[in-house]
Amino acid sequence: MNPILEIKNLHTKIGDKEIIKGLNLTVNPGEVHAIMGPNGTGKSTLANVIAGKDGYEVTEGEIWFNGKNILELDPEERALEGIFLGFQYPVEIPGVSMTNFMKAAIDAQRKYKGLDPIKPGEFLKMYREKQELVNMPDKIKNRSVNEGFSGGEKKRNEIFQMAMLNPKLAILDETDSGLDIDALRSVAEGVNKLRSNDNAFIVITHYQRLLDYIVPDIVHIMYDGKIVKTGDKELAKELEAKGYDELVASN
Amino acid sequence: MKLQENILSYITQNQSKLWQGLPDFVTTEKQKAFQKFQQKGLPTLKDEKWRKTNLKEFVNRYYHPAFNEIINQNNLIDNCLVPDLETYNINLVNGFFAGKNTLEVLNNGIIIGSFNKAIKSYPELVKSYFNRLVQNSDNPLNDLNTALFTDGLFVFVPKGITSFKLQITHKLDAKVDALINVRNLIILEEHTQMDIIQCDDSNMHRSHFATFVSEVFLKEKARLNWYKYQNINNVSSLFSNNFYQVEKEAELYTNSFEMNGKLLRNEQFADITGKDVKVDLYGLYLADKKQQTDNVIFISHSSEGSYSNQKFKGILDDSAKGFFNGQILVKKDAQQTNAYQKNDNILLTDKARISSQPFLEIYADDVSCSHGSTTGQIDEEALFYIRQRGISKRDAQLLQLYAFTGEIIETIKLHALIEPTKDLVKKRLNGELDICEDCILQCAVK
Ligand SMILES: Nc1ncnc2c1ncn2[C@@H]1O[C@H](COP(=O)(O)OP(=O)(O)OP(=O)(O)O)[C@@H](O)[C@H]1O
Ligand SMILES: [Mg+2]
Repeated sequence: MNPILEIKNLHTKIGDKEIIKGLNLTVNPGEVHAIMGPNGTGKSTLANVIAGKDGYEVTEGEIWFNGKNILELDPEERALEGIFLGFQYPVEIPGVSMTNFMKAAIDAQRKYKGLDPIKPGEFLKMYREKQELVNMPDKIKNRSVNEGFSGGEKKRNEIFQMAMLNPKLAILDETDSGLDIDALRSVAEGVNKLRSNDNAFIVITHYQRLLDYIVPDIVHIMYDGKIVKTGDKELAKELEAKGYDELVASN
Repeated sequence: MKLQENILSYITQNQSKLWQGLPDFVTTEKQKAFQKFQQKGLPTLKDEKWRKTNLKEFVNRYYHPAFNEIINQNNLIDNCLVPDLETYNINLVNGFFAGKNTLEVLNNGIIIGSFNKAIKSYPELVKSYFNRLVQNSDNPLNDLNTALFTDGLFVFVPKGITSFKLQITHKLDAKVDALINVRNLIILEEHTQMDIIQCDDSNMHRSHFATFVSEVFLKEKARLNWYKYQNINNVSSLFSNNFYQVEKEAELYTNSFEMNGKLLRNEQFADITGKDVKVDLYGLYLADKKQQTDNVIFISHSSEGSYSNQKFKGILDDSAKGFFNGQILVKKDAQQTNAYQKNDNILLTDKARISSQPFLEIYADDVSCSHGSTTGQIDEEALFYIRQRGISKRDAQLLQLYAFTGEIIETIKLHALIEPTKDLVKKRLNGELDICEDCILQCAVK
């Protein structure tokens, strides 16, 4: 079995500052990984580098996705290859309606596969189905992307988009923060329904609570730009009990 | 200043021929305007409102005055027609009225057609309006227009006529570089409504220097909606100056889509003389290469309880320039005035420039006024967000730019115009609309 994602000795700088300092990570199909770590440790940076955001310099190391070295690919190419990033801070796009945005995304994906644009009826049906899957209120579909959405709606909207695009690898960056317990449950449910043997998830979170709902196969502790500890779901509980300092010191 | 000398000697030499057959009230105004123009000359960078607008590419050329009707008969087709819209159609070519019935009275009493003919057929009517709004203008191009125009459009909408839709195709279409002057007079009597759809267009790739001056009178409860689509070639300039007098309870709405042209300058002067008037001026300018688009607005509130709103948005690419100058004057007696102004811009390169200048002069104490101007770039965070969903960088950018234009397009009240306008804007943003051989709206429905 080939891994979906393989990161080898990754070093990344923002400007002069090294943020990721020799990180290794392998994610296989069917797996859910959780990454936990204190603020400012580089979790979002890692997510952005995998997704190909500008402004990050990879000084050393490799990122392989489905057997392809993706470091030279544009963000849209990586997305079309099957990488989805659920943003920690989803961006507002005034004037672009959710439906137009999703239609453009779906059509881009279809074009990449050599298919014609999706028929409007088919699109709306799919849209409705995925809305239900993540309990997304219908009123949101005519609004501009993330504009005026509550914090919880924004996060739920990320999961909705993930459901629409059906990626091979979804990286969810703190999708649980700011969610009330019902929203948390429906986000987790959405993820669980999409889990399969062909895809994989990386869930970045600060809270053990989410992992009660999305049960991870592997838990990593990230600290100062590196993964310092890897274990099963019990590691998250140990972290909750001890805190980072003790856990990292005992390493 | 070749152009200026050329104009002065042309008028001096041809005065009698140029102004022959016109009633005295017109000749007198032309004489006065010519004298004013002689004194002031063409605008230069030293003039306050022209500091950002360099005419050097034009003033050193020779432009053939379009006195003789330089009309290419083959092009007199109505090719500005919007689908699904019944309209009365007018063609103006190089400042001349083109068509068989050059001045007619419709069944409902509307008089419409050649301004030159109207001057001669309805001198009394024309006399009480002609040059009243333009004569005190400090823009020498208006004097040039008054002195040199031969023809243009005349419209008189009598009391109570509320459903008149007019399409104007205004073309620059000469085989030589031409100096073109169009003069229009539009009178809307009490309780009337008119929609105008205007396309400024050019066929040849010649450089033209064109002035298009309109005097518009809105009487009590008159309503005018004026949509303008400008798409002329990359070497021509068009100076479009509209003067409005807006009386009690009248409503004026204008929306200008300034899509292409070496230099497009739109000046609008609205004098609000009655109570409870509503004036909405919108505009969208998209310029690239070395183009420039100017919008100069002056709204004068002379009477109480009126509302005015200016909203202009622009996207400037390459080394294009934009100039927005919006002036609001609220006179002492104009209490309870609401006056708003907003200008938003996106600059796509480091070389693109916008100069945005608001001027508020307020002498009444009970008013609500606001103005604001923004200049931004493409939002990089949003760009990454969109691309992360698989949408190409180019499409992601287009999506954002198109979204930016929505606020202006959304104000269109004439349903049949919405889709063609959206299409036109998309094509322009996409670089597909350079200079169409035919009118822009048709180009949009192809
Ligand atoms: N654009 C940037 N310019 C400079 N420094 C940055 C930039 N983005 C992130 N950093 C720095 O990189 C470090 C890692 O940030 P990152 O956002 O990856 O942390 P994180 O682990 O996601 O934290 P949190 O848990 O708070 O979300 C921080 O010190 C941050 O200040
Ligand atoms: Mg983060």
